[in-house]
Parts: sequence; C-alpha cells; structure tokens
Amino acid sequence: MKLSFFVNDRPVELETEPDRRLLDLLREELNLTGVKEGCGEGECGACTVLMDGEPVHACLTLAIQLGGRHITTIEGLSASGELDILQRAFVEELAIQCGFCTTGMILSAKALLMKHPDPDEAMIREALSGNICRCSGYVQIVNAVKRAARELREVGR
Amino acid sequence: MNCYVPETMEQLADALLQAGDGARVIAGGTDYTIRLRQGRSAPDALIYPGRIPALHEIALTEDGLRIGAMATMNELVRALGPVPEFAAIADAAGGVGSPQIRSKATMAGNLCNASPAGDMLPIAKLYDIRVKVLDRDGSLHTIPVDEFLLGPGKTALAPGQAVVALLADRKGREGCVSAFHKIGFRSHVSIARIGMGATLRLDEARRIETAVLTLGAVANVPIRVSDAEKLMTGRPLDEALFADVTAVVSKTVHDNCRPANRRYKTEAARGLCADLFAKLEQRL
Amino acid sequence: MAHICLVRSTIPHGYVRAIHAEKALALPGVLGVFHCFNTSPRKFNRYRSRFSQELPEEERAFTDYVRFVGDRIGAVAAVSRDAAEKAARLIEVEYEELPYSVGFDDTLAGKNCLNGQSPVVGEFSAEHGTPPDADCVDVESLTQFPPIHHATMEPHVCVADYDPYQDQLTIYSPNQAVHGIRTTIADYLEMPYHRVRVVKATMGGSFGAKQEWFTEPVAALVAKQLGRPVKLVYTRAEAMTCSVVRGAVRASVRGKYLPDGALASLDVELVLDAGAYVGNANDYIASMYGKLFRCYRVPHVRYHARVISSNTPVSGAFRGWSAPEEALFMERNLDAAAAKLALDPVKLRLRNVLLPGDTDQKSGLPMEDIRIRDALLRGRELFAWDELLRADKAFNAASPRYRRGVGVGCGGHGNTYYPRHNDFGEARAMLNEDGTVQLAVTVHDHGCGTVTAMRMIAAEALDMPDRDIRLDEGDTAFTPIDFGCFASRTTFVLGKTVYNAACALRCTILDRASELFGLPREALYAEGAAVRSRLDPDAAIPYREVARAVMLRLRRNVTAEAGFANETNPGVTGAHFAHVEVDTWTGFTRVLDYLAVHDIGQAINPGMCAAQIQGAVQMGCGAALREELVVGKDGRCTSSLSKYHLFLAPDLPNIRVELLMDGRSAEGPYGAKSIGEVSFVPAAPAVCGAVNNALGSELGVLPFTPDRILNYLTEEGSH
Repeated sequence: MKLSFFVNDRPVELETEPDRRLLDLLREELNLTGVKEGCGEGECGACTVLMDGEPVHACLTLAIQLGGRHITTIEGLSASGELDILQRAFVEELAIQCGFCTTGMILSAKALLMKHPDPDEAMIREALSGNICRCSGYVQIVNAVKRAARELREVGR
Repeated sequence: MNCYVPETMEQLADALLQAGDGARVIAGGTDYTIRLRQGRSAPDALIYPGRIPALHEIALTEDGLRIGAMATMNELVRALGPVPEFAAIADAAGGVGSPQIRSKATMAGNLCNASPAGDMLPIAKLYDIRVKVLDRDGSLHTIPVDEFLLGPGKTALAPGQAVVALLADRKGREGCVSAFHKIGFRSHVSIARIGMGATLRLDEARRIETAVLTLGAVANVPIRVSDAEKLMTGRPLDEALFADVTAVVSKTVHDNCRPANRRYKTEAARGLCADLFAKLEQRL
Repeated sequence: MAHICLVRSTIPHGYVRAIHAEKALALPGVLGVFHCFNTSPRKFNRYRSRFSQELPEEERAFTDYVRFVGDRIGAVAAVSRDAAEKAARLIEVEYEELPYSVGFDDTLAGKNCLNGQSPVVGEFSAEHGTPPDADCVDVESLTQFPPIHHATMEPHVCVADYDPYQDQLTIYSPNQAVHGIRTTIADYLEMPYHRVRVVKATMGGSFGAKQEWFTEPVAALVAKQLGRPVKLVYTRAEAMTCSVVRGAVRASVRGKYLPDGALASLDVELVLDAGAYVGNANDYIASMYGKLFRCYRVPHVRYHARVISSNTPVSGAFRGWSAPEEALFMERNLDAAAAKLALDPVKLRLRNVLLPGDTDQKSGLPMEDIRIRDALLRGRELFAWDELLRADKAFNAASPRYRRGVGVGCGGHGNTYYPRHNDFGEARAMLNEDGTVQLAVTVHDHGCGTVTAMRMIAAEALDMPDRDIRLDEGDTAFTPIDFGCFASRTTFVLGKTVYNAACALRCTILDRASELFGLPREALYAEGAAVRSRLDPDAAIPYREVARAVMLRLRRNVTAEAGFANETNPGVTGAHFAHVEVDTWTGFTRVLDYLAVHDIGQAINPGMCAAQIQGAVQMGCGAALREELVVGKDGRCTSSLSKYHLFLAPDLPNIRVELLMDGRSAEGPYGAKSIGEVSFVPAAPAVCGAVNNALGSELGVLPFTPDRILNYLTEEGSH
C-alpha cells in the first residue's frame, strides 16, 4: 500500500505492506533507531512514540492505521540538535542508566506534560505505568519529569 | 496482502464486499496485531475503518448512548467519566492495559476479541449493549450482547461484517450511579482476574430501587449476578447488605470459576466488592 | 546482513530424529537452514569466561538431544527477520520423546534420568567451625523460590561477521566479557584468538543475563558458514525461556541460637535446579556456601547442596551470583529465630553481624572496615523502625482489612574473584597532543555508569576534567585481556587499575616535564591539567605542551601502563528496611516505604550508586512479591511479560538510599567497595520479612503473590 503520513513534522511517503509495524518503518525505512523493541507485544513500552500527541506502542501500530497521522519520535524532540527540556532533565537527574527504556519513557512523559503542565506525583507515575524500567526504581525518572514540568512552566511565564 | 481504508460507511460496506471472507477488520489493533505477528491469523486483506469520522463519535442523547467502533478507551474515559449512569464504562476503559494501549484500544475491539478476561465484556453486559453491525450489502442490524459474545474468542460476527457502533439505552438509567472495579495481578497494567460492574439507583428513602451487577473474567462470558440484585432491592446500602452481597458474589464466583483459580477468586471477591461499593458510595 | 531465526524444540526431553527443511528453503529470501544434522558436533560451555576453568564442553550450537522446550535445534538465515521467521515456522521436526520432569520432586525422583544417570548432577558439602556445647534453641525454616527472569529491557542480540579473505571473525554483542567470548568461540570454531575480535556493544541491561554465551556461538557459526554479517535478535519469549534464568532453590535450614540471639550453628540442606544444562550450577552452590560468611559471624555451619537438572530453562548467573539466594534462606531463619526468641529482628542481627577487623571464615581474608553494624544502626534510626513497629501494631488492631509490617534484610557480597581465583586488571593511558587522554582497559558498562566512573577516577588522579578523557568499552582488538565485568570486581579491581594507570601517566608527565624543562622532579606536581612547581607558583605547563614537547624533542609518546592485582576482598554489605501493607481481602501487598543503607566505602558517582540501588530494590520487590517463571506440566515456560509481572512506576514509593562512606577499603580506588550486586542481596529478604511481620506468618515460598497470601490467611482463619 501507499502510505502518506508525518514523522517529526515532516511528510513521509512510503510503499509498504499494510501489516508492516510502525516500529519497523521507523527503524528500517527511516533510520530512526531511537525507538526500541523490548517485547513486541505492547507490554514494556520501550517502543513508545507519539501519534497525534498520544503515546502508542509502535510495535502494535500497523501501516494501514497510519494514513495522515503525525508521529513524534525521540529524534523529533531534538530536531534542532539541542536537547529539549525534558531530555535535559533526564540527563541532569541521572534518570538514564542503560538507556533502553529512556526514549519511550521520555515520550510518555512528553505526552503527559503536553496535556497536564502541572502533574502531581501520582499522575506522573500513572502516565509512566506503561514504561518498564528494570535498571532503576523510577525515582530519578519521576524527579526528571517533575523538574521538566517546573522548567516548562517557568519558560511559559 | 490487500488493504482497504474506507472513508465513509458506504466505502466500508464496499470494502467488506470486495475483500471477501478472508479479510479482517482492524480497529485499535492492540490485541489483533499480536495474533497476526504470531501467525495465529493469516488474513488475505486488512480493512481499517479509522478514517470514517462517525465511527469515532461517542454520542449521548436523552434516549441513549452510541459508542462508535473506533472510539478509544481514552475517549470513553473523557466522555463518560462525568456521566453518573455510564461512569462504569469510564472506570473499565481507564483500567485497560497501559496509557499506550488506551490511546488506541476500542470497546468494540475488546468485545470482538471476546477474551473472557476482557475488561469491557462485563460492562457490555451491565448495559445490555446492542452491537450494531454493518453487512457487506450495506444493511445494518443489531445483536444483543448475550447473542454476540459466544465464548472465548467467539462472537456472532460473520465474515463480511463489521461492528460500527455499540448502543445502550439511557431510559431506565436516570438517576443511577455506576462503577466498575477489577482485580488483576497488579494495580496497573494487568489482565483482569475478576471484574465487576454495577449500576444502582436509590429511592428518596435511600433504599436501593434498582441494581444491576455483572461479573467478568470468571466464566467464559460475562454474567449477571441476579441473586445479588434481588437481594439488594429495597434495602439500604449498609454493612449488612454489603456482607450479604459479598457472600452471593463469592458463591457466584466459586460456582463459575475454573478450578485452578477458584480458591483465590472466591476469597478475593470480598475485597473486590468492598472496593466497588466504596466507589459507588462516593458517587451517590 | 543476514537475519537468523532459531528453530527450537517443542518437546521437553528427547531426540531429534529428522528435520525437514525443504519448504523453508523454498521460501524467497532464505539463505540457509542450519541444524543438528548439517553442522559441527563440536561443543562449548556457555559459562566459560577464561581458559583455565575446568568445565565440560556440554552444548552444541544445534542439538539432536533436546533437554527443554526451547532447546536449539536449528536456525534459518534469511535476508530479513520476517522471512527467517516465516521459514522457521515451515520446518518440520520428528522427535523421539523421553520421560521428562519439571519440578523438584519429580526430578529428584529421577523421572527424567536416562539409564545409569543419577538425578543429582552436582554436589557440594562443607563444614566449618565447632558445634555449640551450650543449650540452644532450634529454629527451623524452609525457603523456596522459583526461577526468575532477568527482564533486561533489551533482549539478547548478537551480530557476527566473517571475512573469508582475512579469516577474520568479528562479533558484536552486549556482554560482560569480550575475552570470555573470544576464548569460547575461537576454541569452538578452532580459530586462533587473534583472528577473533569481540566488541562490546552498548548494553540495555544485563544483571548477569549477558555473561553466558548462547547467541554468540550460533551467530558466529552461521556467519562463518555464510561468509557475511549475520544478526540474531532474541524475542522477549526467547529471552524469557531460552536464554538464562535464575535457578530455583529449595533450602531447609536449622539454626541453633543462644537465648540472647547469638547464632551458634547452622545446618543447611539445599537443592538447586540447574534446568536443562548444568552450566555454572556447581560453582553456584559452592559460592552460596561462601556467602554465609560475608555478613554474619557463623561459629559453626554444616552445608550440603545438590544440583538437579530438570527439563526446564537453563539457569545461570543472576545479579548477586548466589548471595541473594543465600540471603533469602539466611534472613528467613533469622526472622524465624527473632519470632521464636521474642527478640527484635534488628537487635538479633546486630548481635550476629561481622565487626570491623573480623575475618572471612571461608577465605581467611580480612573483612577490613566492614560497617554492617553501622548500616543497621543508621537504618533503624532513619527508618524510625521502633516507631513504625508501634504505629503498625495500633494500625493493625484498628483495621479489619489491612495489615502493616516492617522487615529488615542484611547481606554481604565481594569485590573480586580473589582468593577463589587470582584477579588482576591492566590498563594503558595515553596523552594526546591536545592534552586529552585516552584509556585502554576492558570494561563492560551494564548501563550503570561504569565508563563514567572510570573516567571520574582517572580525572581525579590526573586533576583534569573527566570530559577530556576517553574510555571505550572492551574490544579484544584494542583493550588488554581481562576476565570480565562480574563478581562485582569492576570498580574495585578495574577502577583501581585505571587509578594506577592514571597515576602512572601523571608520573610520566611529571618525569618528562622535568626532563624537558630542566625542573627539579621532586618539586613538580599536577594540578588543573598542568604541571606545576612548588618552587615557582606562577609556572604552569599544560599537559598538551608536555605531550607536544615530548613528541618533538624526546621522540616518543606520553603513555603509561599499569596493572593491579588485588590481595584483599573487603567486607561489603547493606541493610535494607521495608514497610509494607498487606490487603487481607485481596492478598495484594503494597510497599509503603523503603530504605537501603549501604556500606560502600567510597561512592565514585554517588547519584548513579543510589539509582542502581533503587533498581535493585525494584528487583527485590519483584522477586519477593510477584516474579515467577512457571513451567507447566507440558514443559512450557511463561513466555510473555503479560504473565510476568514486573514492578511499574505506580507500584513503588520513593526509595530512600543512604550511603555510608566511613568503611573504606584498603585497596579499592579511593577506598571504594562494590555496589552493583550487594545492592540486590538484602532486598527480597527485607520485603519478605515485612510481609511476615505484618501477618505474623512464617511464609517461605516466594513469591508472596496475592494467591499465596490469601491461601495462608484462609488456612490460618480455619484454624
């Protein structure tokens, strides 16, 4: 099938099978390898990307579902070459250990902050409930989201 | 593999006709994609109705509720959370999988998947949902939930048909509060081990006028706990009623459950009832 | 790039009698089908990390004698992963089935033994000390736990490339021992070591899952056959069932205690299920014995352990390498003793912990400045242990539904292989013409920040910014031979090696500066990436100038080499405190609060140490309350994360960490001791202790799932 959609605000046209996974399209056709496959069955969240601002599993999203949709990957956050506030917060707060869950974690957090600029801790943990981290106890990750929320609100002022 | 992305209902009917019996309709795809990848389903065509705007609508009128086949769990939470008589739908939808799943998963898809543990199954039973089906000849008909859900992985949907909406009556539910609670393996992101939905209305004397109680993930299809409902009618919502209802629910779970899980589920029904009733009381 | 999909046994025990690959070979894009009948019968041992280990070569790449559901019998190579998968599904296998066993009892009864085989495939007995002569209280406890999954977020993966023109094999994988892989693969493929290059790739978590070799031999074999690069990626299901698991253990302990709580004697009877292959299991049970002496004074112990081999997923290294398992049965017995003697669990442990100056009773090495006592005292205070006990008592009396409790867990570990094996590290340091530095040392970052920590050590020694120091991970083409990053030796041995190399480089820089600029050597020191003189406060020769002058005038580079062979293995310990709430109506346990106190000597990168400890706590909560790989009667194992319930963000409180840095090690870099594994040792015991405290129970079969807790409560209720 012919697929037309948007990745990181850029229009993309591809010829592909209707059941090709978004995960594979991103990694193999578009060389956007920030999205990771941890389980292939929508359990670990390592493949989280945003679709029209909502977090989705790229491993469970098929080409046939993508027409006209806007996909944001981790690369889309730092399109200018500079890390965005959320990414910087993860670095500053030591919220990254092995890094495999990180891109998905950041995008889930991004989706949260786009809807709720002042989330409490319970909301943050709930928003990240679909992203498994095996290296940490989620402490620094939660701190990073809190920090980014604070900084974004200050920037907004 | 062929694919069809219709943009109107007419085009969807057309696609169903053209695609033939070996086609599959995919909504959110969060269950189906896994089966596809494992080779447990080998369709020769996929039909994606997600570009049809009407299928995304959640419409609430005086008479009833219409949930489009493509309405996501997130959308159900937003639309129905504030509506007391349908809040149970929001409760259930808000507990399906993870945030990522809820961005795409649909209630229609959950029913079509017909897993006995499906969170939305006891909800569909709670509201006597009628499943609106489009046929390949363009005609529409409805199937009551009891005739739609036929067993694990089995529905009344035939090849060449697609679910387009789920319908529930509003009449008879005015003044009701509702809630759903489930016990899984952990508090978030878990398949249900028991799910329970309830609607109830109190009269002026604060006695239960009408109650509906359904259980999911216990039998192969969702069941109504009519014994508990009868017991509740005319009684106030107090400790004694709660104890009696819990006993009936436990027994129902015990009698319908597979042996492997029976011991746990029968016992845990107590906590499930307590938490469900707490939600209901909060909303009264 | 060719992609591999493995063909695996669908039966738990038996022989492969025939493989039909015609349909697979006919699929477009298929490059080859390799299996037990068309590949070498040579074997390797997945556990080999050096040439000197005495190990049986027990595994083929593809076997015709299968010992578990998932055992490798073949592989399809194709131009894409999808094509390889489709082809693999078309392979038809004929088996001759044999009787099999999946649990302790059936396996011990010999249900899966071939003629003449014993169900016990390994045994270790040891005794130490003198039995007590005073009157003691007997405390019996049973502890049992199932296999668990490492659950690294990155599944196993390997890329192997063979260049037939150069006879050069290159292997890229996330792993913990590049030289171990080289030894194993080179011997297996009968290649000289210098023609096998192993490169450590960025690793998405290991926890011991990536220190045994099963992807590399397969990828290497296929690459060599095809003469092109091949990639093998495990699915999550394969990672769960066909890689490596933490082996199930059943331990019966009889402790003898004096009335004041002093431990007088321990009798441990233990069975470890190695799963389908023995691998490291014999070393594991011996190691578990040694761990008994790393935290407590044990005046007398009789230890008897057996290894059995059921037809289930293969057991291997798991974070802590037998110490967490030992801690589970040790702490259970201590808690049982505390209950029986009506002693506070913290006080009981204080009565028994090793003190500074004590000796490791098994190895004979000094424990040095072991601070487990301080960790307990500090933790008890910070956690408000006594107050919580009082508050929980009142809460429990008032609550019809919930029960709260506190638990404490203690554990010790090591910092090196020594003295079980001699241990050493080597590193080279080089100064570039612009003043930046490059280090060559074989490290394997698990994602825990090893590379950064090493750079920090070097930067401290050279007094220069760490961002000006480059340190790449292990690559057998460039970095010195090393055992690998396990046994918690990385910071202690390799960190000290890096320190020595950095100091040697600093010395060399000062020596050369003295030579070049005619400065008295004794007056020179390094500060701010420059050479300074005590005789002339204004003089400062930046490193880059020294490097340039040396190259131009002395006709050499500024390099230094150094090694470190430790002779010590100081005590390294932690005390964990957990506060839980059990819902007696659903069996769910909530972790309300948690404190981990660690006797770390010196944290090189404290923030990362705390993060790692919290990760270990997450793992411990999982092991205590939820995680279990279940092998059904048909031999099939849990193979999806939807059925293996890891701890998520909403499940954990803000885990508190306290690092004690008074008990410095003599030999470690800046007095550092290990943290990566010892952090996990006390975690599950603390949570288990808290649940038992909450319920007044003696549960010893992990995990304490809602089912087990409600079973216990209903049985108790009926008494």
